[in-house]
Amino acid sequence: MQAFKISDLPLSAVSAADNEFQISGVGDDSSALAASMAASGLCIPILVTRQGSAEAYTVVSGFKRLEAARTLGWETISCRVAHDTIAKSCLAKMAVAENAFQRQLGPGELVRAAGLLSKYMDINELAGISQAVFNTGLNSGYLKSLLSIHDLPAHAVHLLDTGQLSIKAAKLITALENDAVHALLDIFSALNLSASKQTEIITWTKEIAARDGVTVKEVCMGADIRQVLPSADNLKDRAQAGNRLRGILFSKRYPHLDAAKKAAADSVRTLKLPKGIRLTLPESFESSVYSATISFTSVQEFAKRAEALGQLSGHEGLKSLLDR
Amino acid sequence: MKISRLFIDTDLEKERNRDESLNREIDYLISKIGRTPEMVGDSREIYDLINAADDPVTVAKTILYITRNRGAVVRECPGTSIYTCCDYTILHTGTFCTMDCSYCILQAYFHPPVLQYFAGLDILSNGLDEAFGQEKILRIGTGEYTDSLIWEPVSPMPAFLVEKFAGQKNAVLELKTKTVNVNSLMDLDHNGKTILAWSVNTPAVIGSEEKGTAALSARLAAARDCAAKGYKLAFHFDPLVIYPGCDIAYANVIRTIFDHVPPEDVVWISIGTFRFMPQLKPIVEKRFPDSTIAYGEFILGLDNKMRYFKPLRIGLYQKLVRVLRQVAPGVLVYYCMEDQEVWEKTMGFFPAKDGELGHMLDKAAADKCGLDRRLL
Repeated sequence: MQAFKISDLPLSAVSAADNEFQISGVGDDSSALAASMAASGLCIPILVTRQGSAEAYTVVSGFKRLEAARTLGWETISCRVAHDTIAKSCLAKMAVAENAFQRQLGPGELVRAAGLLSKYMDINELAGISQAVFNTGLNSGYLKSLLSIHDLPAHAVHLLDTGQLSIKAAKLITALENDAVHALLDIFSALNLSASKQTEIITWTKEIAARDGVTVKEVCMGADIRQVLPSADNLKDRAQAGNRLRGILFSKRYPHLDAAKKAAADSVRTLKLPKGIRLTLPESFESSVYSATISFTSVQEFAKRAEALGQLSGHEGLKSLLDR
Repeated sequence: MKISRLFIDTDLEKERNRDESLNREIDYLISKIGRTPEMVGDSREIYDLINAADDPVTVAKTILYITRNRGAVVRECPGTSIYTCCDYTILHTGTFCTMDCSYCILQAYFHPPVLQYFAGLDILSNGLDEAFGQEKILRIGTGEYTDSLIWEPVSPMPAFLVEKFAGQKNAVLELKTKTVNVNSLMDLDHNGKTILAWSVNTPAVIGSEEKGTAALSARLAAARDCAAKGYKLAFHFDPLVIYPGCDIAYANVIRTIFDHVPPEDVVWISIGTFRFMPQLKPIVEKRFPDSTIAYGEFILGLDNKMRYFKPLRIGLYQKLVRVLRQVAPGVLVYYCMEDQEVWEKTMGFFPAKDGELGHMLDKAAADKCGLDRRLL
């Protein structure tokens, strides 16, 4: 018996409303795919399953292709119609495998895929078939993390899709209370930070809250923090806002170190270091060793810069820097 | 913390039959612990048992493994060259601890931690005879990888060591503890060669971070009793934890100590702020979710351990040194693992030369414990 039958189905008979099997990100731009389909047609028929006995179909794999077909105004679409006897668990595996063997799944896709398959099997079974379904081996610990992220509000998975939240940061968030999760997701929605910076922000807010006996939400809702967050549609200021937010949180988490760094930066500024001379402060001021570097391209330049460096020894700014 | 399972190394069990002293020591331990021992031929079975637990550290605190020390009995303390070290000597009597301090580095130091008791007083005796034969002063302690007195209620070892040290003149034994387990030591002829040392902290830190340890008042009462029996004492303010009002709280601890014991009986006091390997932090967060000890203003030190930002350390040290000099001016105060800048800004001097801090401590030990001064 064949598992599929190839049919051209009217678009009106194929529904994407039931997105149980959808792995790809919701709302991703499908205009490039539409352009390709307009030029070359549909290379791979979408995979659908029949809803009960009616002539209505649910998409298993091919949500984007269906959307593109609608955009292009097609009336029919070529489908692989799964035989009625194929179990939902098999359809779920097909939905994941069809995506995973075309490209590396993104973080949001991984989470949705794990969430989908976990309806039909336990973590250990899922780990066992991961190579065949995900196109990569996933251990049960990692799958457990993916599932805990899957339990976060849907907004979190959307941020995984847009790259505004990393798997590592999302995993950290899963350990927090609901209020804290929402507050942090709000922050990440307004920013576009690297994974390490996301982790930093979660860690600092959590630690400030624990140290000060307040909630993570209270830290996140602080007026100073809200003030630096750009509106959702202001994409331009995101990088700067991220840096400002990190600066605020750093000064709350490490107030003395932050003050020392700022004071040292002020002292260094008063030195008005000439071009070609660089002063390096000890990391976190733990060591007492400062270093100065001069760069030069000729003997004359070396002599000139060495002399300028020597003149710094009498500078009040240097004294205040070293008498910390 | 109660011992739930007791394991004995099968090699040790065989040796017991040939060694009457070992047999007595193990019989004593078993009778006091009150658990039926299980023989184990390969220590990996215990590691596996502990590693299989959700919280290996907690489980490890309840499983005692009596075995032989197969490494060096007497060894040098692993200091670093970056921060000034006191040149301590370690007597390796066991590993890990039944108490549960949130900040304990042993949670991250051993993989996994195993509560080991090294049986065999003869081995300790031989190792010590070799040390005692050296022409130098030694300060020897058992509190590096475990608490010195956790097994005192069930083991003859502490009393054995006190008596062993009593018969020589070039080494002092420092028994460092957070317990009040000193009963078996009270009537011994220690000859001044044992220093009973307590790690101390503020009642707030003891209450929140030192689960299963004796209260400060109990520790100081035990210290007073020991001083009355002629023992010399030491106190270790380590780790100092920085929190609002900690300077006043630590100053109160200093004053309370000297309300209990005279400064003349105190050989030394060490101070050191909390520092830890970065790997400890997730363990503290997981095992002690209510603890905020890891959320101080820590930076990565030059020895790759997390330390409080230096001006914070210096600020607290300055206040405590001032109080110590006021209350007990003759007592030697030193830092465990601090650098020149800290020493100079807080003590006004720095033991710069190689071994200079160790020499200061040797001299204090010689003066107060009657060691042979010619060895200084």
